[in-house]
Amino acid sequence: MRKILLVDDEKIMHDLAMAYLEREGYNIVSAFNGKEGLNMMLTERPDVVLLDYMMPGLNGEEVYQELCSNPKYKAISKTPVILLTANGCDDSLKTRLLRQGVLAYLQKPFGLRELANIIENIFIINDMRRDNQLLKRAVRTSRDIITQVVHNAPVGIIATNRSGKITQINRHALKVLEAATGQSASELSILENDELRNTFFYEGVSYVLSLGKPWLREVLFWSPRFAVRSVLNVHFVPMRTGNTGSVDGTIGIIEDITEKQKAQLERMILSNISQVMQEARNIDEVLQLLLTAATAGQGLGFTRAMIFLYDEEKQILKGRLAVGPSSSDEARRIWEELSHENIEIDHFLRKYGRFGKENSAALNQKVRGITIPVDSDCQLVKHFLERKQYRSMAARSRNSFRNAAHSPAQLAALELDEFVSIPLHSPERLWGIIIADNKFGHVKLHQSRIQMLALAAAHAANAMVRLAAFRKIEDDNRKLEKALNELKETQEKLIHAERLAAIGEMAAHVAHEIRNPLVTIGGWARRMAETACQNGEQKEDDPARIIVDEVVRLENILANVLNFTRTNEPQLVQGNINTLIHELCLQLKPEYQKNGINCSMNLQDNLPDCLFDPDQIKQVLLNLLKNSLQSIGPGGRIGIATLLRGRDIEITVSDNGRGIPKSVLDSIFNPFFTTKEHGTGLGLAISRRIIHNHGGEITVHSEPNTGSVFKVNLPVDLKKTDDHNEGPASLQEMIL
Amino acid sequence: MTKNAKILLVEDERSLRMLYKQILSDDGYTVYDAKNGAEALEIIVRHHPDLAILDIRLSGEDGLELMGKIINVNDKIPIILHTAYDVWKDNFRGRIADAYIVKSSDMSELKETIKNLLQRN
Repeated sequence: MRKILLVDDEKIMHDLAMAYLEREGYNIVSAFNGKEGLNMMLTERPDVVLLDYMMPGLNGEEVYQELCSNPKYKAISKTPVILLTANGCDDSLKTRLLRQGVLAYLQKPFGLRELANIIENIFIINDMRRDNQLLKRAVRTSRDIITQVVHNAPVGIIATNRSGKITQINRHALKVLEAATGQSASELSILENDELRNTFFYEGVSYVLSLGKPWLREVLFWSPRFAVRSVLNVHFVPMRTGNTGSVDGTIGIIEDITEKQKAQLERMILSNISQVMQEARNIDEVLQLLLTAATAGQGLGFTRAMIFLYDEEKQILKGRLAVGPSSSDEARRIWEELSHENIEIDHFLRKYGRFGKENSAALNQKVRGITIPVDSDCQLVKHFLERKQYRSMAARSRNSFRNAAHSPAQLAALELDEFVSIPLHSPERLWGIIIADNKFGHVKLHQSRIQMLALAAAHAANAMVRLAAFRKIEDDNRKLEKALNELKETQEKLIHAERLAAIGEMAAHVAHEIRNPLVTIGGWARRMAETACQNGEQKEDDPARIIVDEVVRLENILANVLNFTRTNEPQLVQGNINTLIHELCLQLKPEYQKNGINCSMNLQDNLPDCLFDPDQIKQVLLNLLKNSLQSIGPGGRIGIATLLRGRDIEITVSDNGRGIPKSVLDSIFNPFFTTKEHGTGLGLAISRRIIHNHGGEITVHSEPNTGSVFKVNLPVDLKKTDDHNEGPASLQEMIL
Repeated sequence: MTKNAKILLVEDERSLRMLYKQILSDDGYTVYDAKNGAEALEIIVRHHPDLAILDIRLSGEDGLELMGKIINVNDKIPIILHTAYDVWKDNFRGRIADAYIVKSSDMSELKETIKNLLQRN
């Protein structure tokens, strides 16, 4: 039941009010002066106070002022008070009272009905006021929460009204906004700011305001004028208030996913570097890839990177490869080129090598000229030998960082400031070192980038290990292949030798069997011819003489065959090939003159002496010269030359004769192969045997109708050995 | 000395034996021909030839062996090794045999050598 305190000095008022208001359902308590009223307010805690103005002692106004101002009554100071004033009270008093907070006043005399109504209204108003205050508090709390959420959100939040003017913005969104406008302004209209015209702010807000639909961009590459590039997810949605459903503004959520993207990119770069390195075919390719990855703008992001390889034997680090601009002018030029192209991260890998060879020539040259002894006492080298990273911090003064304690004096030309050096190593080997910095980039080295570089360097070292193993396998394979080829060659030679031996054996046997009958035939024919001659019966076409001649020819063939089958060791003597050729040409001169042949000699001066069998070499050269003679007509040319080629003496016999058809070129050194009508086919076979027995080689180059060139190579340093036989080991053994 | 000199000819091929006998007889030598070692040794003992011409490869025996036997009987007799093979030429010349001649239808070398050896002795 609601309680009403009536403070009035008139008893009648108490009786009337009590009689009426109790009937209305109120509980009435009474006080007869101001002081008593204040006390009862404390003790009774009435819901409403009816306070008479005119009272002895404290009047109503003074009681009210005491209630509001005395801390003693603080707990009940908000109790609604209705002032009961006397008739004729002036308006200024009423106004003053109302201003002070009195809820209502009633001018005496008033009807009880009127009093009841006012009390009822007061309760209603009071309830409303309380509700209102609760609501206000709730709204304030909500607003505080929203403000805190907005400001503390990890994303950018921006709200605009329906004309695009910013109504609320948090610090993240403000940062993005300021990066675009270049000014610190949170109260501007997105649709009217020129700087924002070509940005997602304008696009998103105008879309949402005109179409009333959400606008979403994910993984947006944001290149603001006044800050570094970043990657954003942006979402603008319409803001609707009231029941009309019309769009009253926009709310934008801006999420900066640069770091997330970078991390993803880093993983991608690393996996790509690893993969590409696994495909590299040589160590330089691996190094180039590592440097490219280190310096590619959107990759690990160093501006310069260089590699020094470790030569363990010489105890030095030798500059091998470098990537990066060599001056700030060059850096500016390259970056301008790059920024025009506006490379996006997902295109980055295809843009590998932006600071590639063409842009790094000057730095590369500088680095290649640098040799660092590893006994140097500086931190960089010490860390390298301990297989540790070394990071040199930016110098406080420009002179201290070039101090020998950090980097060796040999690196002074590179003007290293803040740099990092990372060893390239595998468990069994130190390969070298990669040094990277942000020279000309003016950005501090980032720890995550350094870790990435270290990972990339580890991949590179792995690839180098793989390549080294691969190269070893290749080398082994090559050796095996060579050994196999040599084996095959030896086998072929053996087969060839065996075949020759068989031929020789057969030839010797046949020759022997034929020689005796030939001697008989020829001997008797000769005797017959001589007898006829002695008897004066000699005739030019004496058949006996013809038999004699033919037998002589057959005997010559037999001599050749037997000569071939014989394995004469060369009787080596020290001599000069030029002298031998001079003698030979002198011997052949009459024959050349007779046939109108032009023979030219081109012999090298100071040709060293060598060991050879003069008879055999003479036989070879005579054979070659006679072949030439037979292949050319009158007026033809024959050339003989000598040349010291390495440790070989090269003898060349050339002619401009009819040449040798290609189809038979491979066969001309085979025994019994001949293109001549009366040849035995042994001349070149014997020649080759002799040259091989001298440890040399004989080759031919020939063009039909142009001529032939035979080259004989004899080693200057031939030692007497028994290894040059290749025919039958010994015919003597064979026959005996 | 050279004319009418006695020559032992050891040759197992009849046709050759006949040829050499004829040719050397034409030149005035007395030729004793033998087709094997046994005959040859008999001639050595019986006729004391001034010179011997030996084929190296005789049917059934070795001319070199025969040469040894002849030297055992008479170590003064000049011996010409006469063969179809020319491979031993360097091996034997100047050692035991006095000459080594490869058989040829042209017998001038043989004739010349016989003449020289007989004159030498």
